[in-house]
This record gives sequence, C-alpha cells and structure tokens, in this order.
Amino acid sequence: MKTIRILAVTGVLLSLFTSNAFAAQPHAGGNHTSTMYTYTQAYAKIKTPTYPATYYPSFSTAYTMLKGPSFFAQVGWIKENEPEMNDTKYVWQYYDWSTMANPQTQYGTYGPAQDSSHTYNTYRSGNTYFGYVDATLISSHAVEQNATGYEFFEEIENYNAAFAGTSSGHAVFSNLQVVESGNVVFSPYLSWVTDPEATLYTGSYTADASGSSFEIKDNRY
Amino acid sequence: MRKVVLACLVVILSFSLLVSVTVLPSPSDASIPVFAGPQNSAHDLKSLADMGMRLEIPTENAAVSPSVALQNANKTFPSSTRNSTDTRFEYHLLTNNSFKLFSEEALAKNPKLKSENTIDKLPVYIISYKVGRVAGLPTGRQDTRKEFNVVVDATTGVPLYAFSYR
Repeated sequence: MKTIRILAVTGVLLSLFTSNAFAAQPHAGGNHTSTMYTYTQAYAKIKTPTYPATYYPSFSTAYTMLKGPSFFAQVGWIKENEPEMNDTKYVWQYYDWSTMANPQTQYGTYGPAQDSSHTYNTYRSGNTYFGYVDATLISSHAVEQNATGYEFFEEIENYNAAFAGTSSGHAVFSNLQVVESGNVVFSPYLSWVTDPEATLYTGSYTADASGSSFEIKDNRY
Repeated sequence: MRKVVLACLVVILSFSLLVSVTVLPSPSDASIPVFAGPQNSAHDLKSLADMGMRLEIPTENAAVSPSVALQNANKTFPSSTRNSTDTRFEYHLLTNNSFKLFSEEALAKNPKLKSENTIDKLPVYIISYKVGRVAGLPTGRQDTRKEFNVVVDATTGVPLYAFSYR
C-alpha cells in the first residue's frame, strides 16, 4: 500500500515536472549571454526569401531578442499552419518564465512580402522594452530587469515546419547591431547554433565588422 | 416582512440588470451578444494593461456589425481562427499607444486613425476565439494558451491587430 502511495506521488510530481519542462525547439542562428554586460538593443535586417512551408500544427519564425535571467522580449515574423496560404505576420512577444503566466504575444495584420528585407529592433528605454518593425512600434512591455543577452534566430515549432531559406534563396541576417552597456557594437559576438535540418552560412560574418551577415537555409527545400 | 423581501428582490433585479448590460451595435446582428465596456469584459484587464491596452465604455453604437467584423477577422487571421470552437464579442473604446503598425487599409478607411496615428479611444470590437492552440514564438516551455483575440476597428470593420495571453 505504501509503495503504491509513493508511486502515485512520484507520478504526480513527474507529470507536474514534465508539463513545465524546458524543451528547445529546432533553431538556427546565433546568440550570446554575458556575465559582464547588459544590453539595450538587438537589431537586424532580415531577408525573407520565400515563405517557409508550415503544415498544421506548426509554425516558423525569425526574430531578434533581448533576454534576461527570467524574461525575454522579441520581435520578428511568424508563419503558421498553412503550407501555401499567405498568413505571415509581424509579431512581438514578451515572456516572463519566472511566473506560471503564459507569454503575451501581439500580431500585426500583415507581414513581410516574399523576397523582401525588413529591420527588426528589440529596444530598451528606461524600464520598458519596445519592438519595432522598420522603425514602427508593434508593442512594448514595462519590466525592471536588465537584459544580459541577445539572440538572432530562425526557429520552428517542430519538423512539420521549415526554416525560411531554401537552396535557391537563403534567408539573410545583416546589419546586426547591439547596444552593449551603452556602446554600439556592429556585428556582435555570436555563438552559432544549427539544427540538423538547417545549414548556417557564417563565412561572411565577422564579429565587430560593420556590414557583415550570415545566411540560413532549410536542407529539405 | 413582505416589504423587506420585495425591496430585496427589486435591488437584486436592478443589480443583475446592471451587471449584465450589453450593447447591440447593430440591429441586424441582434442575435449576437456583444458585451460593452470594461465592467462587462471577460478579459484580465491587468494583462491587457501590460500589453498597453486600456478599455473604456463606448458612448455610441458601432458603425459596423459584429458579423462583418467577424468575417474580416477570419479573413485576416485564417490560420489562427479557422479551428475555433467558440467566439465572444466585446465592444469598447480602446486606447493603445504601443501599437502603430497599421495596415494601409486601416489608415485609408479611418481618417481619425490616420491623422492621430495611434489608437486613442477608438471604438473597437475585440473578438475572442476559443482555439485548440495558439502560435506564439517558441518559449521552450509548454504553451497552454487557448484564446486568440482580434481587435477590429468598429467604425470601418478593418482588423487592426491580434493578441494572445491566456
């Protein structure tokens, strides 16, 4: 009887744990977390060559992000579910994972045209984080926490979706810029992350060199 | 004793009428219940405030019907709304100074929006869709959200943006 009780309690605890466990989605791009500096801007121009295929239930996205020890703010685009439908939207998301609350996401009514480039700027002023698309505000969130890292990523929910970028047209992240403890840094330092289904072209990216870029394609397309 | 009971009944009836007040923005959509003003909102007003949104009681009826707003919202966000099992309509004056990414259509059809370039006490519908899942950006954690909301300009019927938080 005691054994059954212990097993039952273990099962409940395990289910609670696994339902909130972190599980990284497939992603490709670069990121950095610092123990010395804080960041108030993550900016990039992202070229979306063609809309990636996204079969239900899945989504594909590209973004710039500022992140702290328990939160992130990000701005980019998202395409979901439909393989052919033009349902790509600009998107902003704020998430504080120190609470049990869900993320707060806001979507524009439109997104980037195919084969177009747009700038995505996650920016902090005072105690508010802002998201800009081509210098137009999409949303903001007040939070009294420093960002200690940044990300420039493409990400997919699962392998029903493709990364943007194909063999005939790569997605391009260019004009990268962060503000690091008040100083503007062009082509900031990045740790590269590549999913097995994606190829990352980083040869033309040199840290601290103005105007460098990196490219991404999905290996399946 | 009977007078006291009667008085209580009158108070209870008046109160229930007060809290369940709805505005029907268009006679042609009388069958669609629309909940107006923050006092009748089902939203978490604190979460809305976190996203820069403030609701106030509308002073006039909407120019477009809820069914037109719904049709346009479905068309603008087809992937997010197509598998919805239920919808709820609210009608408010909305202020949101944190969203400026208006479509050309939204600006062209509403001169006030175009001249002010911000959502300032704008009559809007908030259509809340019950959905099986919400496509947010990946968080590395299980996303339990089941509601997708579309904000529609109630003067023109043009969707302005969408949001999700629960």
